[in-house]
Amino acid sequence: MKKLIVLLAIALLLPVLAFADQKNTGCGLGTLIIKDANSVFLQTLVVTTNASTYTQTFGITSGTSNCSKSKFVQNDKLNYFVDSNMDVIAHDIAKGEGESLNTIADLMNIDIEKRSDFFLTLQKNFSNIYTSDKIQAAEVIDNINMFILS
Amino acid sequence: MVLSCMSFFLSFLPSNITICNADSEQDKYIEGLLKTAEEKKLYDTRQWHVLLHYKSSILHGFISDIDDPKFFISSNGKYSPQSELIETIKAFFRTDVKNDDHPICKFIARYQWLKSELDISETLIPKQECVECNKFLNELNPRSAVLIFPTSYLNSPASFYGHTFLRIDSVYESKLISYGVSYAATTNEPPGFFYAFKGIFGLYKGLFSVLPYYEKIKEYNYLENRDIWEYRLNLSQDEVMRMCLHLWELSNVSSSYYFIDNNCSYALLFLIEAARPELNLTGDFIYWVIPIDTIRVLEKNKLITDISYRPSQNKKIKYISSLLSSVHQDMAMTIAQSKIDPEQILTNLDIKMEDKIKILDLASEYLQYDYLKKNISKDDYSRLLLKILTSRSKLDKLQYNIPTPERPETGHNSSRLAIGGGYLNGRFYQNIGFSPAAHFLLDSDKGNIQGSSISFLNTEFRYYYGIDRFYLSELTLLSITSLAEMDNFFKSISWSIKTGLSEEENRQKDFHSIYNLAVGGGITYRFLPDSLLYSLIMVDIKLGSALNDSYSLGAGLQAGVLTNITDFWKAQLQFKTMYYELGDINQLYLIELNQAFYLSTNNALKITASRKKTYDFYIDEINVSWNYYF
Repeated sequence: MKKLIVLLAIALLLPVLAFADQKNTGCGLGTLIIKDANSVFLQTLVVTTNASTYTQTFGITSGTSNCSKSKFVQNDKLNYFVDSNMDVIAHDIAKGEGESLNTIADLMNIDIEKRSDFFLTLQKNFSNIYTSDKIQAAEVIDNINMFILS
Repeated sequence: MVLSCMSFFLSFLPSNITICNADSEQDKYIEGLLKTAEEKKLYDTRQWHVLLHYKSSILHGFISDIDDPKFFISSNGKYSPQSELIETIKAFFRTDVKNDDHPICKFIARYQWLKSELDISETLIPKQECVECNKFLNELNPRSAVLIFPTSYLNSPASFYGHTFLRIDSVYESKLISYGVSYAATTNEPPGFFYAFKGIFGLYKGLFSVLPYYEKIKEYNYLENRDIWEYRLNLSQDEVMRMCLHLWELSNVSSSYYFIDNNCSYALLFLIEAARPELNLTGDFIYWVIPIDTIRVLEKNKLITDISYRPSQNKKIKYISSLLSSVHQDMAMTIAQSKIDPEQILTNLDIKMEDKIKILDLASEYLQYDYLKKNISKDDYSRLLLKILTSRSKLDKLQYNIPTPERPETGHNSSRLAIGGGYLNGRFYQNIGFSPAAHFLLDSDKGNIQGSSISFLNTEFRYYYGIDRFYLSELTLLSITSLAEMDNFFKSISWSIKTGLSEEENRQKDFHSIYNLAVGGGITYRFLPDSLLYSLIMVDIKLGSALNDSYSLGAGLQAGVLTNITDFWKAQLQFKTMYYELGDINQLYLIELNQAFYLSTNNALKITASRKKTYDFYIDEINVSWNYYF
């Protein structure tokens, strides 16, 4: 009984100190930050500084800069946005609506009246935009761009 | 300036004499500006104090909240608004540095203000190209500002005291590409005890950073499962621009980051004051700054025009689940686990079209959640995500209207005063208590998360009439409880921690002080819409001179029911049993019934009744206390 209590004490009183932040780099699907939160107790401690998982810099950090850029669309803001939001953009296109879709429409200067038709077209052509699970951001932009021109 | 004139004079070149004259003309101009500044007492103005972050100080008269020496031009700038003003005006005329390194660009907000106050002529001051600053301002393209408040984590009540940052909105309709301005501690190490210690005692440097809002959403909404509240500020475009100019001045300028007072929320108030110096927001906070209190201060000053809500991924999942039968919920889960093909949902004639949409939407959310928790590999995730979304793209649009909860600032205020009286084994006592920041399990859920509790420095004094004894009955440094419910999908562990001083009965039935640390872990289930059933395994270590061997280590169980009987009546029935087997040996049994009646948002009546068996005697207690939040 005594041993059990001591072991229990050790298990509960000593939080796991390993806390590795892993940033998933890349330019395709699954580019999300993954935190290895082993201990909920530790999360309490994180609160005391609000330090985020990014190494903070001032100035305009706009996302991963080592992804290739779209061949057709010379728009840094758009490139960075798609680089960093591949998953949620895929969700939105598949659903036919969403905030990130609206953002892309904003950045590609698509008229408000034309947007719902545009989103419907994208939805119907989901497999032609996200052609494979290994697709990169630049290709996604180029594929979307094809539907603006048509 | 005078010395350079002398050296020119000595070199016998006539053209230099002209330059020499120009220097003294500029000197005269600068002197004139300094004189005007003195007459207008510009160093005494609110605007100047806001830009330099001056606060009154008993020792120095004034002291700036900024520590970084590069923020001050005068060597005494941190303590003297006057010398800082003088040196700033002089520095605008420096010729040894240019463009982005020049004080006109580095301290652009000061320059713009002084230029208009002193009517500085553009022709008489060396022109500078503020390339980096202009790039920054063009990219931000400020139109309006929004205060962003990510509320509590799932399972981390402490994050309620967490974070606020600003979003600078521009001309785009989409807010995702706006920039977020955030003040945080720069740490290079993983979290641990020292992390918290350093954060509390100012051993980290705080810096501002600017990131696209979509990155913040990914971090808060998805990764940390926090709801986000957005409070649009009533600031004009010019005011927001002024704020951004001051933000530029603060780039790479650090201050000691103190979790308790000089934290993220406090720093933002300075930015808002820079936008509109007539406002005095930082003055309301003397000892500590709790983010939600800064929202209340903005409301008090009528600075909030519009409020919107972004549910966390956790909320979305719960909401979509609630629209489906448990059979369909299971279907979504098996799709996310790659056990059935999403196409099968499309061809299944027994499922209504709307339900098909919800099942696939839920499956894709489950999948992403699993991936964020690292339950599957990136390759498996991408493959399955694409499969689910391909099927989903063949169906229609569907809008979800996730209900907006009560706003966090509508809950009770942060500090608590408790006054009451009770009987303990027939002896009458009165109690008075205070906590600077507290939310207890028994408090109203309005604006808070059910089953969460956090308090700092909860202090209580008692006076026993019969024995004429006044003493400190409790000083709990920190107490956090998170009763996170477990359901089909979210396998959350409930936990609690409490540490501090308290008075308790020893074997001789006398009161004695002990210091303890108690930690618990367990599970919580929801039964009935408004009730939580919880059970935690507890470990407790006590230290005290009146204990045998001066310590006691034990383990046991704490279980109970927490229920909202009505909107204004909450009750908790709790059982606790502890076996102290090391050091001072004891078995403890406790049963208590706690009730709270909410008389208003900031007033509650709490009634507690308990029976405790410790050593070999019983202690019966009843207490009625009035809780006032302010």
